[in-house]
Amino acid sequence: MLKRDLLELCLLSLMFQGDQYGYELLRRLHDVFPDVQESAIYAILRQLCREGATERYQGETSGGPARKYYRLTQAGQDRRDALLKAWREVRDAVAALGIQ
Amino acid sequence: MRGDYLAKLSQAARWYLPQAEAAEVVEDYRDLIQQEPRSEEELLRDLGSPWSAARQLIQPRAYRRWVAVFAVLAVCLLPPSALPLLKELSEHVLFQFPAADWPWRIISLCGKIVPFLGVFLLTGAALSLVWFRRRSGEERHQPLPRGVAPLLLLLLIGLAFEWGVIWISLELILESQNALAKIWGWMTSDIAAAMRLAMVLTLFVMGIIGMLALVRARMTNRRWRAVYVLALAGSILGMSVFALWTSMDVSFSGAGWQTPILLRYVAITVVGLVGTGVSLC
Repeated sequence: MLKRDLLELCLLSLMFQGDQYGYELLRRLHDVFPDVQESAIYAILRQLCREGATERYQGETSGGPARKYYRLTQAGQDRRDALLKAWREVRDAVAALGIQ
Repeated sequence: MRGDYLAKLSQAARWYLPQAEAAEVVEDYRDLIQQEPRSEEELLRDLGSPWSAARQLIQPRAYRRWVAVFAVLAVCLLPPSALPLLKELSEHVLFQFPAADWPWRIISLCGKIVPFLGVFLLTGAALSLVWFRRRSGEERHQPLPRGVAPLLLLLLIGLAFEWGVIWISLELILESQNALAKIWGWMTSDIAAAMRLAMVLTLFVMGIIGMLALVRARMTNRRWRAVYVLALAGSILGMSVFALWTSMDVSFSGAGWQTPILLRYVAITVVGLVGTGVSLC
């Protein structure tokens, strides 16, 4: 599993918890992976959108400018499940070697 | 700095991405940057340079298509604008080093592309018009981008110079008694050589302006294509005249041989001017 897949899994999992504001998604991931630039995370987010795993919409805000939110589609949920399975396999394989 | 970053990102995004997607990306980044105040160093650290940020968004297929179009447009413009200068330099090198091989290749190439000049003009003009066409939802009456008008004027002056050279060349070749008397009055070999050099440099400058316009048409405003089309027509016209000077075609004889040549020059000019006018719309 590549780091890109891991970032993808994180993004999809965050959206699995509920619709997310784009900026918050980037900041949360950047805080966890400070060596990954927000532009790289944004590129993954856009690709997920292009592939139909997520979709975006303008959310309502009180007073401020309209915000762009992202939500998971059915294809995105399937992708998340597949990535989660791959991640667990990698984690178990690494653990089997005694690496914690 | 924010404005700077966004301006650079906008240019980079428009280079790498289709227009609609580039606009969306810039909008997203504007949103992202406005959320929290960041210094220049912080922006570069968190987001990377504008060019690297845009490069990560490339869709390989769409980008390859653009690169192919850019290559075709460049190939239509660069040979007629640069080859005459290279030919002059090659002849100079040959004069110094008669055994040199590569100058002959350039001189030979210069002659070989002449039959294709019409194809270059039509392909370049048509492709730039189609590729940089107005998209749905785009405003029809936008102000002309800054820099377009002065460059168009400069190119028109170049075109007028080329027509001056055409007139002098044909008068000399036709040995028109009235004009010849006047022309030979001041035409010395030095002036003729200077005129030739001026022509070659004019073509080279037109090529540079055309390439610059091509890049600007992609990165800022599609109406820069007008500058490209006029530079292309100017280069093709100049190269045609240059080819006439250096031609050893013996069919240039008999009454009225110059008429088809003049008609060809007029056609190139008309295509260039009409194409430029359409490109400005």
